[in-house]
Amino acid sequence: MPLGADRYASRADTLLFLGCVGLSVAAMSLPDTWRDPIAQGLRQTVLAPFLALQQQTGLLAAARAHYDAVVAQRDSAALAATFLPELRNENVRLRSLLGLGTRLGWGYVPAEVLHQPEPTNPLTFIVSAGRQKGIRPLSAVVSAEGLVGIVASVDAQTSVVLTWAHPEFRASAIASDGSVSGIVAPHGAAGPGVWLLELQGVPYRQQVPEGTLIVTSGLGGVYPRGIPIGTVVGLAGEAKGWERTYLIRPAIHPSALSHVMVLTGGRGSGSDIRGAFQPESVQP
Amino acid sequence: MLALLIYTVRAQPGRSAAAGFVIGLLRDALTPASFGAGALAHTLVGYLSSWAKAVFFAENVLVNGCLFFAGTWLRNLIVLLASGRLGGAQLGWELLVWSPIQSATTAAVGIIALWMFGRWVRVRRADA
Repeated sequence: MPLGADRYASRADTLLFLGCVGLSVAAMSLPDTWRDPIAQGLRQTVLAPFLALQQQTGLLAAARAHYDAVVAQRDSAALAATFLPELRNENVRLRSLLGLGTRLGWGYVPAEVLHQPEPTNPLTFIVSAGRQKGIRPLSAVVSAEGLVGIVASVDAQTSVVLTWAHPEFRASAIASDGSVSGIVAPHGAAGPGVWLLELQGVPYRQQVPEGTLIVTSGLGGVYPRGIPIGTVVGLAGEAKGWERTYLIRPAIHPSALSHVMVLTGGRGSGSDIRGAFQPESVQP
Repeated sequence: MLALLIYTVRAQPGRSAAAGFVIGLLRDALTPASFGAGALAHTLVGYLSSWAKAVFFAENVLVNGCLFFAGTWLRNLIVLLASGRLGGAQLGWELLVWSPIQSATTAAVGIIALWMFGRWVRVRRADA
């Protein structure tokens, strides 16, 4: 017998085929009022498990996409959170500066520090205020924490500030209680010592305890009296029987600044602005 | 569709037609706009596939692949003509572009399925 001869179409097969064709034509001819219930019945019975499976597959795909989106959001939030401490610090500094401006009342110009990626950036930096805003050379530059430096040169819209770390920086200073006075200068020209100040010319018989707040004395007519410079952290050296030099930890580091205040003219050397610098803004 | 065609490889034409009718009817339940067209198409494809397999084709995986391709394409043709939903350029695009792609995909999957599970669908020889 030839291969597959048992699958040739018999009469029964032909009748079955014709019956199926007839039923198909009848299904195509059904009115909508009959067709829809039949289709609905098939979907709710025979096809229900398959439709449920397809629904679960769709939910799984959607959940996967949603999961990927959530992971991306979480990663973005984590990245943004890494900048949160810096944003908080900047917010605190700006609020402090706002408070300083309120307490000063007048005679100051706010400016933004335009940090440059140079090794000498902590020694001198540029601020975003110049001659047009009333800034003059030798104007004091302060932050909420204390003295930053002095204006060295002025352009129309920018100025160059000499910070306390610069080797040429000098300021007449006095202890907050008025007990001793001297000249503040950078402790060293290179190495770690450049980030400390020293109070020079303190008479040998006078001792300054650690933690003493050193402020500008107002002598010389450059800095108003009362601007915090730093706190005494120890003895730097002494000339036997003559004078002592004390180490001072500065009130603010230039690299930590984003905004400063430039004190413009109008304040005499006898004016005292120590009240504008709150005790909590000066860290011992 | 692929399950129907694989079934028709070993089934008699009448049973293939009945299986095609059932499968087509279930498929039409998901697309009520062309209710009955799928049943007619699968009935015809099932019957013709089984009959042609018995008459013309030897047991060969590649030949079966061509059967799958032709069966899928013929099903699409009958559904489109019977439902009358498309016309003109749209019908041409469907028959000359999308249907051949679908048919080729079905044929490829069918060949893989037969290669993996071929011994379960091999035609039983009738006793002499």
